[in-house]
Amino acid sequence: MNGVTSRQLAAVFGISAIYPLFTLRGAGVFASAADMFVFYLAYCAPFAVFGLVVLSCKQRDMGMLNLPFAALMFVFAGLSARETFALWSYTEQGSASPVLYVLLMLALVGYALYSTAESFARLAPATAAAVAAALAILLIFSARDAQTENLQTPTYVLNNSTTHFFVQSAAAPLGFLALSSSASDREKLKPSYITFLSAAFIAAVCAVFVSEGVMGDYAQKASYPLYSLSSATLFKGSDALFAFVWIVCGLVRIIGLAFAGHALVHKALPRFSERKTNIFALGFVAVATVLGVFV
Amino acid sequence: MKIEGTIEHTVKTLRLLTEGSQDVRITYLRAGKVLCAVVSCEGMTDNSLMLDSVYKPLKTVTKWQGRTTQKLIEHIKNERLLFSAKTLASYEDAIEKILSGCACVFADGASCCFALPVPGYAHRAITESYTEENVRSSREGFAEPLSVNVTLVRRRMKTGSLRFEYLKLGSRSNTSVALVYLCDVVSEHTLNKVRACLSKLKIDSVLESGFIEPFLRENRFSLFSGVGYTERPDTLCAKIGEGRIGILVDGTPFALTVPHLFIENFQSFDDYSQKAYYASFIRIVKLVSFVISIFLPGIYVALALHAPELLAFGMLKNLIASEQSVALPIVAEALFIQLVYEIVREAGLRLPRPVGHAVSLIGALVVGETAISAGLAGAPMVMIAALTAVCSFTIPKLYQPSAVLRFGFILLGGIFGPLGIVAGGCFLGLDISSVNVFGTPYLAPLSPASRWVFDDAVIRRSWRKLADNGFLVSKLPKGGKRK
Repeated sequence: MNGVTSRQLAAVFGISAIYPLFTLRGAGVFASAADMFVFYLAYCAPFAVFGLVVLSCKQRDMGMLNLPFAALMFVFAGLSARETFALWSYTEQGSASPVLYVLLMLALVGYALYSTAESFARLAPATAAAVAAALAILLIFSARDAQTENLQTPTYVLNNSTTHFFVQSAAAPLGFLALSSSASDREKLKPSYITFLSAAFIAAVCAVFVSEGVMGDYAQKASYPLYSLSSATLFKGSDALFAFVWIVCGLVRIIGLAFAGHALVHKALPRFSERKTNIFALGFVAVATVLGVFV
Repeated sequence: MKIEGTIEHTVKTLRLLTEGSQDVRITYLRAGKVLCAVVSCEGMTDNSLMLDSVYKPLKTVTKWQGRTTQKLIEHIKNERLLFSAKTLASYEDAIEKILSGCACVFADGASCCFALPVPGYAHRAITESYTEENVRSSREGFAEPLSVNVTLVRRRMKTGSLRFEYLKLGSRSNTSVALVYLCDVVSEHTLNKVRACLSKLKIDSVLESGFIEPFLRENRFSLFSGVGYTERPDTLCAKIGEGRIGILVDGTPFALTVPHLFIENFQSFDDYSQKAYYASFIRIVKLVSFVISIFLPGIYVALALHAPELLAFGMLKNLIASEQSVALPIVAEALFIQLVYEIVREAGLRLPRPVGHAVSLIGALVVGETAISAGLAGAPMVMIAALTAVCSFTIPKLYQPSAVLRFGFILLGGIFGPLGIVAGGCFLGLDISSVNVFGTPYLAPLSPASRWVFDDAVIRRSWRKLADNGFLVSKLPKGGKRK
C-alpha cells in the first residue's frame, strides 16, 4: 500500500463517514437538540475509539490481535453491503435481484483488491469532490424551500436508525486505521483527516436541517429522507443522478472496509503473500455480503 | 562477418547475404587501377547524387601509388569525397547501410569499405496533420522519413540539450527509431526504463509506431494507454519541453510520447494559443463529452428498463410512446444502434474518401430515418446514439476505449440497472487509476493531486503563470509498483 497519501486516506474516511446519512431510513433524520446531541455523539465516539486504537498501535505491534479488528471490518463491509442493497432496491422499487447484486459486488471488490489500494485511493478525492458537489447542489437549491415552522421537536430520541447510524460510523475510523498503516508517520500528522471529517459532519448537520425544514413531518416518515429531498425540490426528476452518487459512496465504503480488513489480515499473518491475503479478504467479504443481504 | 578477400569474393558474399535480391545494384569501376565495387539499393539512392559524390570522386583517382588497397579506401574517404563517409568492417553493417539508402564502396583486397549516405527514395511531402487539425498553429505535420521528422523537431528546438538517440528495431525490418528528449529536463529513470523496454523488444517488423507502443505499456490489460502519440512536430516539441520522451519511428508520421497522462487526451495545441478562460472551458466541455460518450446509452437503458420512475414524467411519456412502436427490447435496440453506427463509421473510414462520404450519407439516412420507420429503433435512442457519437469525436484519442466501454455500459445498465452503471463506473475508475507510466500515475496531476492541477490540467492558467511555474513531468508524484 505504498504510495497512498494522507489526503486520499482522509477522503476514503470522509466518504465512509458521510455515507450513513444517505442510508438512514425508517425514523428519518434528526432535528431537536437532543437528537443533534446523539447525532454528534455518533460522530465523536468513533473518534475516541480511533484515537485509543492508534495510540495503542503506536506503542507496540498488535500481531494476531489484528484479526478481531479484521473480522470487524468484514462485518461492517457486510452491513454496508446490506445498506447499499437496500438503497438500490428502494430506487428500483423492490425489483432488485440480491443474487446479481452479490455477484456484482464481489466482482467489484475482487477487482479493487487486484488493482491495489493505491489505485482505489487515487479515486477517493475525486469521489469525495463529487459527493460534496452533489450534496452542496442539493442543499443549496433545497434550502430556499425550507420553512422554520417545519423544524419541530420530534418525539423520538434514540431509535433503531440512530443505533444503526452509530454502528456504521464506527466502522470508518477503524477502517482508516488499517489503511493508515501505509502512510508515513509524518503524513499521519497532516490535518486532512480533521478537514474531511469536519466537512462530513457539517454537511450532515446541514442535510438534517434542510430535510426537516423542507419536508417537515415527512422527513421522519420517509424511507430515505435525503433521497426524497432530491425528488421533492427543484431537482424533481433528477433524483436518479443523486442516487448514483449515494450508491458510489456505499461502494467506496465497502471497498475501503475490504482493504482495511485485508491490511489487518496481512499484518496478523505476514507469512502469507499479498495475493493470498487478497483471496482471504475477498472470501470474508463474500461471506459477510451474503449474510448481510440474504439473512 | 569481416570484409576481406578479392572483390569477387566480396560481391559473392554480398549476394549470398542478400539472397541474390535483384534490387541490390553493383557497379564495378577502377580507381587508380584498383578494382572497386559500388553497391547500392535500387530506388533507395539518388542517381545524380551518386554520380557526383561517389562515381566522380572515384574516377578522379587515376594513379594510386599506395602500398595497400586499405590505404586507397582511406585516401578516397578522407581526400576525395565531398562529405564524410563511415568506415565499416563487416558485411552485416555494410548491408544494413546499403538497404538504408547508402552507397558502399568496396576495393579489391581491402578489409573494410566506406558507406556514403546518398538517400534518394520518394516520400510524401510535409503536409498538414490529418488527425490533429488545429486552428491557430503550424500547418506542418510529420512525414514518413525519420530524417525529415528529425529536422522538423530540430528546427523548432535549437538547443544543445535536445538529444536524438538512434536505434534499430525489428529483427527483419531493421527500422530506424530515434529517441528524442531534452537531456536537462528528462527523468533519467524514465529514460533508462524506455531504453530497457526498447532494447528487450523482440519483434520481426516495426512498420508503425503502434507496433512498439504495447511494449512500452506497464498495464497490459488496461483499456487506457500511458503512451501517447502525435502527428504534429510542435506538439512533440511542447511535450519534450515538459520532460517527456519522444519516439520517432522511420516510415510513420506518428511519434510516440512517454509518459502520457490521462488529462493530455483533453488538451490540444490550440489551447495554448487561445485565451486561458476559453481553453479551460473547452477542456471542461471535452471532459463532459467523454463522460457522455461512455455513460449516456447505458444510463438511458438502465433508467428506462429498471427505474423508469427516476425519469421525469414528460420524458417517460415520450419514452413509452416511442418504445411501443419498436420491435426490439431496449437493450437490444441500444446495442443494435451502436453496432450499426460502428459499422457505418468503420466503412466510411476504410473506403476511398468519395465513397466513404457516400457510405456516411447512406448510413445516416438508414439509421436516422429508415430504422425508426421500420420499428427497429426509437427516436430517443437514435438521438442518444448520435449525441454519443458526436461527443466521442471531441476526444479522438480516447475513441477506442469509449467505443468498447459504451457497449459494456449498455449491458451493465440492462442487466443490473443504475447499480450496474455505478459499479461499472467504479471498475472504469479503478482501471484508469491503476495505470502507471514508468512510475508516473496516469491520473496525475489530478490524483495524486499536485499543485499543477490548477495550472494546466482541467483548467489552464495564463501564460504568465505557466511560464513562472515551469511544469515538468518528473516533478509529478510517483506511483507505487503494481502487483
